[in-house]
Amino acid sequence: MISDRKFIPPGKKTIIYTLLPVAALLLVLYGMSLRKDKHTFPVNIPCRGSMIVEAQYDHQRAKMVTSLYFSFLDNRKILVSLSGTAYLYNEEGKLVNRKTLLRNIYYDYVQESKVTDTYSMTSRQINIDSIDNMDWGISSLLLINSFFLTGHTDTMVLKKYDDNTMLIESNQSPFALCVFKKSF
Amino acid sequence: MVYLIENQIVFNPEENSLSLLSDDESKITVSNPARRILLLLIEQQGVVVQRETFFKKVWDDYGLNASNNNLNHCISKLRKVISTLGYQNEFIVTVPKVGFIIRKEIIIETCANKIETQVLVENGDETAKEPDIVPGEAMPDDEIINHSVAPQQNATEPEPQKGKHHHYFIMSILVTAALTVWAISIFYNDMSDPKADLEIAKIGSCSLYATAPVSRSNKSNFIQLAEDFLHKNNISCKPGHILIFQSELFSSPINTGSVREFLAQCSTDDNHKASVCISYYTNDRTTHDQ
Repeated sequence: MISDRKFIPPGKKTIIYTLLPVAALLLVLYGMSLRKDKHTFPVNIPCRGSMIVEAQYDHQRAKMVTSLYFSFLDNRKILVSLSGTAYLYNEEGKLVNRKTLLRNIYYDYVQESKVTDTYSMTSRQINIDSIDNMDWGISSLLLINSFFLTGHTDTMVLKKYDDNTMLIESNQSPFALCVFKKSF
Repeated sequence: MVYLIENQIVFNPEENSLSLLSDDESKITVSNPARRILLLLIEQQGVVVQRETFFKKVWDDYGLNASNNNLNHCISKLRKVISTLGYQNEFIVTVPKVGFIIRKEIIIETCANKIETQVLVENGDETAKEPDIVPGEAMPDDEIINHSVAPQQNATEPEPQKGKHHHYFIMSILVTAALTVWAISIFYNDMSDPKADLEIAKIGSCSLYATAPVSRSNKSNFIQLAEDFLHKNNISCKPGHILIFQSELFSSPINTGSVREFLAQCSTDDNHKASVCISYYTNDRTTHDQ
């Protein structure tokens, strides 16, 4: 009796038995590559955010409102760009000084620990715009040293917080969160 | 077209070969006349194919000399091959003084979707219709065919091969299943919100997240600090926004002379990803004498 039932030739069976695990393995490798991406910064996209920094002392208060641009460059360099305004208030809360901030800071960086996301960042070049009139006094109240002292090294913790965000921390506290975005 | 005989033996006319379904390496090649004989028998399964039909279709049509000896030799060869491949029942039955037949009961499948049911041999009158088959009947002298079965070793050889193939199949399925489960778990983890474990509470319509894990017992303290910070800095929760908070008061129980607090307020897109963020960072260095 001849029937119409299909059967798979033996050679093809061997190929199918081999291809099935190979296909599954490729799926795993693809998933692992995605997982690896999940823990690395999208270095080809700049990270942007806005910062409001306030430093309160017994006899004065300083405040800065600024935009933050953070970008991983080639050759283990980072560019940080700040643009904003700094305010200084006396103990009665009266505005006594107002300064403009507009500068680009180029860093050389070293990833000191992948586990703790710790980086040492040394400001190699600070390009201060002509409109930028931040003096040392107000800078020291509101900025980290490497933002206004060329050659200074700050220790930073740069953490990928979400798929598209980076948390910038000192060892004491986070101070900025930026979003990896091509443009606003 | 490839045939599967009794779900065990594969007959591939294009390759002149017969082999075990479970072991491609068991392939045995047969001569062209033997292949044509087997094809004729399969195509006319259940019908006796007369010797004259074989002579014409197997030899004469190809300009070859037909003879009873040649036919018997080929039938004998085919029986040996079938036997070597482990099929022990009578496959090709001799119909004395008439021809040969493959009985209807033998299951022969094809790998084609549509089987050409039309009998290729058009000489229908040449085929006798369902004559009595006497397999045990003595054959005439000119039809004495070596019907001896292969040695026992050959007959039983395919079984371990089949088992080996079966093991290979099970291993393949198990490995595939394990890898697939692994892949699914990876994709599930990748698709989940990476900050989901850091969500502490809802403040108004905003989800409040920490920058580092917070234990269950400390959550209320953490929420209180976040609410105080929002109040102190006149930050209001807007629908669809998320808040990410951390305070040095929470992590350091002693007065260091500096209280750093951080809060990011982010709008989110449709995928619940941060879109635009404003970071508030305060450093309170006022004297807090104890």
